[in-house]
Amino acid sequence: MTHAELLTQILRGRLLLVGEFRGARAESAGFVDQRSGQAISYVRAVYIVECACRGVLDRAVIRQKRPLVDEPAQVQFPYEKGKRYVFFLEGFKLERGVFTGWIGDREPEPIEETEEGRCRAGGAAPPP
Amino acid sequence: MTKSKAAFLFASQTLGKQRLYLWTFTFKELLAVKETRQRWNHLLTLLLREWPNLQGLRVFELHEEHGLHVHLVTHRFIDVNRARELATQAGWGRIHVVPMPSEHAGYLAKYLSKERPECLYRWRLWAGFGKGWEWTKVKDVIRETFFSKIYRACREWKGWTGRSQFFERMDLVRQIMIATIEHGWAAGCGPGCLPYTRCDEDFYVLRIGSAE
Repeated sequence: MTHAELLTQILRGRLLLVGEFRGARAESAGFVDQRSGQAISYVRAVYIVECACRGVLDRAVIRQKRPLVDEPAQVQFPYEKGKRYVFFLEGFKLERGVFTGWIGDREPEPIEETEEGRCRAGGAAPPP
Repeated sequence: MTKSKAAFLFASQTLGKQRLYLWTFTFKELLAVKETRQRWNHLLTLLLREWPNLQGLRVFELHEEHGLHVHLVTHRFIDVNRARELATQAGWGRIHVVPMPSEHAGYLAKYLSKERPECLYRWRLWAGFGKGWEWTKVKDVIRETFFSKIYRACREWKGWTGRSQFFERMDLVRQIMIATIEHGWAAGCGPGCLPYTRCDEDFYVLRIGSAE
């Protein structure tokens, strides 16, 4: 996704989170009835994202349900650690300083890095 | 999904091994929720007195216009005319019943997904009734997630008991969860697949430059 496309989405009012992909994991989540042993389970992916505005050590957690997948091992994460991606959020909560968001079917999309994109907020040139 | 809804779905699966009937009980007039609950208790007493072996689940639903009414799933057919007489005796209005395939018992769970109105705060939105069967209680249900696995490992590591310092515990577990995903550790283990007890005290702390 280019910066222009990203800006278009923001101006449309889409809820987006942009950050560096730090890692991801698929898990089998659900509920278990301890008495009968019955279980309700589903697969979901958890992404860890570092957002520049929140400082180097702050991470955001993004969750995504994968209803069509039966086993966590089937989930692929073709993302590059350290690269920036945009997440199309369906909702989020900020709890004791931790950002937790959830996304729908739309997968995270990489952001095309440009010279302009690497500038600081104030417009200064990127570091050499 | 909440634990309560999950418990209801488990209970309905237990009840749903048999043929089921879906009942709806409403009132002629709009009543206060407390009054509705009292009338429901009265009606349930009458129903169980008439049919002592009756088993089922009830769900309260608050309708925007018609107020609180009750949905019921029962495991056996009961005489509608007699049930109507009892309902009238307890001050209820209309009764509606339809046979329902057992696999549709979870249909009622949709009422539990609605946002809880303020007037039903701390109410039990659903409950089981009848002798001879054990419905799942919320306390019987555990949440199985990556987070809960890490929480259990932390509880063992730190020797947590009771509920003290709940938020601090959650913060710690969250930090460890983030570090676990980022470093690709196994759930409930630290670096080198070691249990937390054998790791450094601050093994989970993300350091500046660790990203590179």
